[in-house]
Amino acid sequence: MRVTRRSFLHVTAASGGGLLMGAYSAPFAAAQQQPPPFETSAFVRIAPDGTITLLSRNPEIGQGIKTMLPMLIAEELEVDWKTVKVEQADLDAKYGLQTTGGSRAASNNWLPMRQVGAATRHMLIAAAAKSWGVPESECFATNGRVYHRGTDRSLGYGELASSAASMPVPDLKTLKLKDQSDFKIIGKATRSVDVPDIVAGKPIFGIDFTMPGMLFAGYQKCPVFGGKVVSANIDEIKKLPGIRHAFVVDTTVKTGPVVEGDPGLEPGIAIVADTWWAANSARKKLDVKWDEGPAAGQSSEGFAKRALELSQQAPQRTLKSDGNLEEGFKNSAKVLEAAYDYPFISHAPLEPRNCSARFQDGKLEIWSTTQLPGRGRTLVSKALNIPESDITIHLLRAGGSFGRGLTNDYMAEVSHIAKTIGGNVPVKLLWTREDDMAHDYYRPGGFHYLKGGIDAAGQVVAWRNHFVTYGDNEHFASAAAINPLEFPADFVPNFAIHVSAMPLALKTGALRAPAANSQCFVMQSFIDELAHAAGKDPIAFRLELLGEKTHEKYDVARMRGVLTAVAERSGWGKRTLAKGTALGVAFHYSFQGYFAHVAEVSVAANKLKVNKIWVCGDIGSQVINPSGAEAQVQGGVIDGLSELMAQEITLEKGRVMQTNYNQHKLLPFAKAPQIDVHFVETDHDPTGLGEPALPPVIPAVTNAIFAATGKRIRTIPLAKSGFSWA
Amino acid sequence: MSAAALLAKHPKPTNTEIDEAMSGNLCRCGTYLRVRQAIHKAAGMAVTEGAA
Repeated sequence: MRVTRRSFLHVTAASGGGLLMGAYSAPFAAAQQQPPPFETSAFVRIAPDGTITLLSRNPEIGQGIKTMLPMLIAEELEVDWKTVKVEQADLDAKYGLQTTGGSRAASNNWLPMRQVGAATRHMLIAAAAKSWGVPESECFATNGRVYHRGTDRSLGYGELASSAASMPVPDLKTLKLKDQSDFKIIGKATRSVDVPDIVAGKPIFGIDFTMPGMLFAGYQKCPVFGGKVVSANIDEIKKLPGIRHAFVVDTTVKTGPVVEGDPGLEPGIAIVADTWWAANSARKKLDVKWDEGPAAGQSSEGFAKRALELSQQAPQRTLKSDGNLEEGFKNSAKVLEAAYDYPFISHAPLEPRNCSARFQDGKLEIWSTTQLPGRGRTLVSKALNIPESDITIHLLRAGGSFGRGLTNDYMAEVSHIAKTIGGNVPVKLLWTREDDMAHDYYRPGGFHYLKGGIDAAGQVVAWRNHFVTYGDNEHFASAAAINPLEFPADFVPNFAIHVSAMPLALKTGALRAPAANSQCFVMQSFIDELAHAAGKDPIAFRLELLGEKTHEKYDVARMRGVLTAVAERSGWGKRTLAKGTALGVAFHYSFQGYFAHVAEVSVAANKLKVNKIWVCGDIGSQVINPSGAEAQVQGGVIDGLSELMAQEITLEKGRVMQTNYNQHKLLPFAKAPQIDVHFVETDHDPTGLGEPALPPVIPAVTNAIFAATGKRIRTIPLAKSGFSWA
Repeated sequence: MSAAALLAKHPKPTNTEIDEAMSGNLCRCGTYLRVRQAIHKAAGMAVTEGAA
């Protein structure tokens, strides 16, 4: 409907409660706290023939948000889902908050998108009532039509659309929304809106994007982060077939002790050609002398050695300190110490990073799969000295992202190239798989030196973690922090988290369930060790540790709920299993979701078979799209299993040594276990599923390996200890 | 496409045959299990529609 009147309505953020997203950089977290206002009319277009087009505002990265957000609008709008078309929104202030990350879309949009649908429905009813000269209270809307009670008159939304646009937008806060029991769309398994296009091979991904007259770019960076070009055979490259431009980009990035969250444009060589093949063939003929810079001295071996040294010294700082550790350990019947570690890993999305841009008449137009288009626009504006109002960003579907799109280095690269070559020529930058894996923002590795004490009754009375990570004595490298409230903080009377940090000249960042994806493995494994030391059943021990006290930022009842449910569903303690087959359990609260997993594994020699994973999750009162929800949980489990077995990024002489899936592996089709997904519904507003189902997978499996073999896993990936899939 | 090729050769594939045929396909959206189910479903459909 054509809008003649706009209403700016400030929508305050739904209070999510729960733990701080300490691993995210401040601007992302800040954006979630004060979402910008949006225009309700921006989201709904109704054609005269009644066709409904709904705009989905968040970037779609395979998580299904392009289906879920319109479902919320359509429900309150009262239309048949089969008549709805969905369009991806571009970056525009009228849509308000447009970010993908933190599993935040459900809680950020649960109320606002339903309000959009309800407000639009009210305006359509108002238009019909006006045309009939009857009170609005005598009218109702269902299935795309407005009816007048008692006179059988009705008008379709198509006929009402243009008059509805001139009705006042109702106050969103006073709108009455539907009861859960009346939902016709929400709660129904709904196929992704992009499936027909995907199955038909339509070019809807970033990697598919093309325009007439487009040129193709490759960007060669130093294998060592921050390395700069000293000399290169640019003149020879320019003469190669299909090459239109080749030039050095002489910029500088800070290489430590803490690398910025999103350093933007890195130094390198741009090659622009008629075809992607020509550009990337030319890269193979490059002869470059690099000044590798200080990052060249780094190695995984060096980090491990330094971490051990730091663990034996007094920690650099204390993040949390409760009670009296010394007393606690003195009064312990048993004291356990263990060292845990996990590696750097790569996001490795199936679609390598790509971005397209055209610099025309001083303005920049960008087509991107970014997760944070607003921040990308700011980054490019600063890098190129162009006002943000002269930058347009179109959002394209990403073939997986997992947090890679939270940073916008690829956007900075292609924008710089487009501006440099000028001539109003569109340019597409598509990284190779090797580029993508070697120049990632890695999930940081970490080292935890734990000491735990249990008393004669088998209660945990003391817990100390000396966490050795990356950063300096005040700051953590991006995504390398530990949350001081990370479980079991506040559940153990004598408790401390100490931190020491090593400088790091490498990009790091949030990767699906940042911090949780690695730290849950550590916490739930050590808790398991304490359970076995106490001679207690691992689930009974965990229920005791949780207790029943209320905690300000941790809903114990919800965690007990999923833990109890998963025990029941997996037949914990009730089944006799063959020798070498056992169950393991783990739970975690992250990204507003409470999750508990049980894994059943069979181990023979070092061959591991994961037979089944039971997942119980509490994300509130309503699973919005059960089909999408199941996919998110199963996908999180599969990612967790991939990380567990054979993902590791190592450094030698400052270079990342892994460049493709043969070295950093994804779970193969045949090894996927049965995954039973169950949601425990509780009376809380719905929260998200992108991340919270992943963290408990890893310790559930490693705890099961211990139960089956007596072998305690304290380092991952398993392949390093000689394991492989059976 | 891998599944279509499989069904052309093995109209009613076992789980093992499915796993082998799909071994070159990677998926991170979490649909491995559903792909298996879908292939079984398509195999079922092919059998009943074979005469048409």
